[in-house]
Amino acid sequence: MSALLVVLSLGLLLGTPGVASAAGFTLQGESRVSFTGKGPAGFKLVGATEKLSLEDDGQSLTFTVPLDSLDTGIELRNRHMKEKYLETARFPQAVLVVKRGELLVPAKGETKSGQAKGLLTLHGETREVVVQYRAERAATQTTKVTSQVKVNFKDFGVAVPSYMGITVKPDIDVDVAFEITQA
Amino acid sequence: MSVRVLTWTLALCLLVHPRAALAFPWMIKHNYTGCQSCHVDPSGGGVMTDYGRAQQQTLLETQWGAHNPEGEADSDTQFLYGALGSSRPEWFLPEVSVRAGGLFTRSVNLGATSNEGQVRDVLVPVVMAADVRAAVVVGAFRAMASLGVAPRRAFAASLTPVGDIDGPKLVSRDYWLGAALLEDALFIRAGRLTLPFGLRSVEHTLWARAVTRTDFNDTQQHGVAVAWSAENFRTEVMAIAGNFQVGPDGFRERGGSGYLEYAFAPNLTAGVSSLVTFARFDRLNLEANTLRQAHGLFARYAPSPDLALVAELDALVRGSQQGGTQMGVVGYAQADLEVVRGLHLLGTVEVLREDQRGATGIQLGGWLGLSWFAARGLEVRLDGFARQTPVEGQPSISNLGSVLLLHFYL
Repeated sequence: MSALLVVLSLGLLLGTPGVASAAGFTLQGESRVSFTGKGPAGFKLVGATEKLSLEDDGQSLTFTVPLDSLDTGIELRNRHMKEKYLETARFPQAVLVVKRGELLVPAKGETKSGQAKGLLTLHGETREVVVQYRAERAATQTTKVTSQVKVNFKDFGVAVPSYMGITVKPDIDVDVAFEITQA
Repeated sequence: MSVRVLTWTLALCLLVHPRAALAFPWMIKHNYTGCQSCHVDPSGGGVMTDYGRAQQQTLLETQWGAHNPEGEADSDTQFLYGALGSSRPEWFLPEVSVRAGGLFTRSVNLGATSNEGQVRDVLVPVVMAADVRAAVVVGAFRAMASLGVAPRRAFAASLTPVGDIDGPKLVSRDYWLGAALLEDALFIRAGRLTLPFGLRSVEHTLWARAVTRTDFNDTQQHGVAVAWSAENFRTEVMAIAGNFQVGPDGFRERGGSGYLEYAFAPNLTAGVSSLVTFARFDRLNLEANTLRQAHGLFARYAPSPDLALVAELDALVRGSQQGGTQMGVVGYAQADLEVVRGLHLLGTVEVLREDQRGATGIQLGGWLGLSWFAARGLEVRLDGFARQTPVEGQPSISNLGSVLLLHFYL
């Protein structure tokens, strides 16, 4: 299960496409990155963090999630996730890079949805992922973004999380929500 | 039925009914909306899986000192503190449950005029469960059985001829064969099963469990059930063939029951349940051609990792040759606050409207409980309760009491 959490964290990183334009983007307000892992007979675990950072170099948006901040609500499960599966001591972050050109930028009062390719680095491995996103821009400079990424933790060399007969499926859903402003 | 008999019936029900299994709907505090990860029974309660036993240590019990140094469940979470060690095959899941203690009740019946008086105190030892249970899990195959001793009552689960319902007897509350298919999402089984209805709870004396006859104690029935556990919902429906541990056949109920619970969020669920049975003679009310129905709603919500709120409300419909059609309602709401790891404070309010058994009007009840999972395999539970039953033309009957129980689950 812990591994699932790690995967989810990565997914979070992936799932934060911005609304691209020439001006730089910065995060504002609250962010939330969560992952959902599934197991047999409806078993489900959710891990989340509110720690998300964004760098905009004018060419790409880079989202970073500190994996140690992920919390599944159960201390032992957190420890398994971080120590056995995500190995956060060696790989402390999940990083998602999305090129600005991949993203649709809504005008003021407009909403755009789409999907973008990005590069996700997790557990020391970098893989291309597809980010589904929806950007809703207010009349101001503020844009609310929600995004989803599907991540298979096997692609990133993360061991299959299994504990006492419960094994988490390798496909993890990652959901990311944040607000950005445009300089 | 006289008021005096009613009073003692209520008091005895509170005091003597055994309860047999762990089933904690408040596990939603930890975002567990389903049951099957921790229990072999897809609807919860009864034999624990290895994962469930590990969660007892991780989530349920007070932690003393440095624990879990390796981040894994300790071996003493297993059967009899791990006495069998690695010799226990993984497919074999045995467990022992003993729940015993003492119960004090005071019945206040100001309308009584007999020699038995208006105030009656009772202090009795209680053995609510003394059961051995085991499950077998091999591939898709599942089997489960329980065997226990009930010093008093629980006659509907008796394996031995019942001469005195308050005498000791050998009981088997549930046993079944089944198959878990489609990655365990589909679960089909046949045998003697706890009826799928409402919130499955250890508090079997709750009116919602006792009146609908859907408790863990002895109201299981034989039949075939199909359960489906998915990401956002779980359901189980059962075709009831009757309780073949009571006889003659005219006392057996036939019909069906089921529930559907949907998880709106990891900490919020709501569900519906329904039960319809018919018996040529109701074994409790002794009325002919009894059609018994219950239909209701239930919900669970955990606003924080320390607090869980659960509630159930059911409409009751009973039709019989002698009594005609009678309507009623039963329900409860319960808050569970985990003050520190393993120490739970429980507050419960109950309501029952059932125009029979000598009672009229709305009955109200309240419980305050303390449940402490004090050590590996040990729960200490103390409950205080008060129930009031209005009686037509007389003052209400009040039942007050407290129960102290030690529960060993090994």
